[in-house]
Amino acid sequence: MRIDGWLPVGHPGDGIWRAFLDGELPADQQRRLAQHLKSCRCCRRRYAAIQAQAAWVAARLGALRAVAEAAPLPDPARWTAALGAYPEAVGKGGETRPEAFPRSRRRWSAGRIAAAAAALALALGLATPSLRAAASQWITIFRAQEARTLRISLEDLRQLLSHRQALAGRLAQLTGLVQVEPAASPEVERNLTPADLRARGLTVPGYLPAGFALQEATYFQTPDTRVRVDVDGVNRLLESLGRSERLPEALKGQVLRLQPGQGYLLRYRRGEEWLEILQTDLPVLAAGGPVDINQVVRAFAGLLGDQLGVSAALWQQLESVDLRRTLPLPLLEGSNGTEVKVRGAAGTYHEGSGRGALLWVADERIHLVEGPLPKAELMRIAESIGSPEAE
Amino acid sequence: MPPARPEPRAIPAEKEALLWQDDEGETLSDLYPAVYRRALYLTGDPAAAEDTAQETFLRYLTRKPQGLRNPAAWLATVCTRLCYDWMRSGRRRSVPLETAAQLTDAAPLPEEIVSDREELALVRAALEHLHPRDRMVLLLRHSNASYREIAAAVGVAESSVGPLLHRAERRFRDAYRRLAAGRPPR
Repeated sequence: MRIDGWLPVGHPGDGIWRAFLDGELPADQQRRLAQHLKSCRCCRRRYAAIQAQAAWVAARLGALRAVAEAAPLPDPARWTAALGAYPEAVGKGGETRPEAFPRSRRRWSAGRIAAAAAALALALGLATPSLRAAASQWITIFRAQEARTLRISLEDLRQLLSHRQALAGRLAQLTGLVQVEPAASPEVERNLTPADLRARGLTVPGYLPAGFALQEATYFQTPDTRVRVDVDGVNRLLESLGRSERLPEALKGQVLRLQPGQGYLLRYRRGEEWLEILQTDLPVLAAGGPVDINQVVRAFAGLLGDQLGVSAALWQQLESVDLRRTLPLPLLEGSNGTEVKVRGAAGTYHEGSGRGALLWVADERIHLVEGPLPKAELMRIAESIGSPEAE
Repeated sequence: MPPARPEPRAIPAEKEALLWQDDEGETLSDLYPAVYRRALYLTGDPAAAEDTAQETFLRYLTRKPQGLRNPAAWLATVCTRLCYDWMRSGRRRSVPLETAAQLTDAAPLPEEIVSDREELALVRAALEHLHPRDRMVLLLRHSNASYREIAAAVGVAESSVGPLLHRAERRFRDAYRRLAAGRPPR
């Protein structure tokens, strides 16, 4: 054990006394030290100083704990979003337990968007961090150019949520068959300015409502990621499950590449109000040869399909999406979500608790504008992003 | 946490899905507040706390051991580990005092809990100047974690916790006093 400072032989070190103070030493040692304290003035003095210091620190950290205990909880809608549920859904359930989940200001961080995107991709059978920029030797097999809303009914949502465990089990079976390197975690730079973001090729808003001041500009970059699939293994699994889907032979021996991408999160503040703007590159998946991504995704979806228990209507919608160029955006039926166009690009608008969120896909990027503003204001901000006048 | 949980069957389908009930009848939304608040206490950053809490639950749903008896304890352990990873990743290397003040500003605080936001900001700022291991040891000990839990969280022998804790407390006090006097911490 390391002991602080020089000590006369036979006198325990400060660290020992600190543990003694917490009663964390073996009983016999606690007893011996208590005896020693009675007879040693020098140790009594030091022990008193350690006690005082611990009490001083406890007084300060106690306030931190109290603050955390009293802090408002984030909107539960947001953490269920990670499993594919759309935010508004849970907000509606608020009356079940209003005291447990006071609605608070919403925050979407880059990590959460990535997690939500990953969950969506997971449902489609592929892990897709946001990536892009094609290299010439790679053939791009998935590059989203546009979004299409996928209508999810409450019943489908319920089915998806109730099959989570079974789904997780099936995914665990898959993990041995699909390798992802490196496990993507984005590089983050904080305290930038919108000008820095523009200099990196991102587009920033040209319009902001009066009174909002920039609080935070965070830039993130995702790494180049390789994905290897054991084609025979997956196909055997599909066969054993009696599914008709198969991974294409062309995928054998290939390395799939999720190309690097970038994005930002801008946070503006006006008093207690927060406005957040997020932009992130859409995923680009490339292979060394021609592979039909629709076939790949459907094979994976088939693998999960008998577990999902979702309606034929949802499957039909999925089937009708050309995944080579289209990103499905979920829109929960019965929520107050609507489809919108931002400068011609497809997206969704959701509102609740005095806040609205616009999510759309344009210029091969996902965009999000979210804040305590009327829809028209959010639209105005959205339309000013990357517009020629703004630059 | 609400004392009585309604029977799942009594809840309309669209709400049942939203209660996050897992296969063993554990209602995850009941466990969420404790996990989030632990992460908030450890990171001091609402966004990081939210991300960490979410990651904790994703792990729960995908990697939970079979026959887990105490999900709350399992979640707390995983959450602590993720917070420690976050601290060590240095995403927030140093927090200037103004930022720390805004952080505590963002959450409305009951008057009786804390009367002095500046004091809180100072505590957070002093913590940010400590090595992540020192910070973790302090925060865990002062939320009543046992030495065994602390040792497991930061990966040291249980017998090293006393000396580590004592040194972390001294460093924290020094950093706090320097900041309070308007001097840069060492």
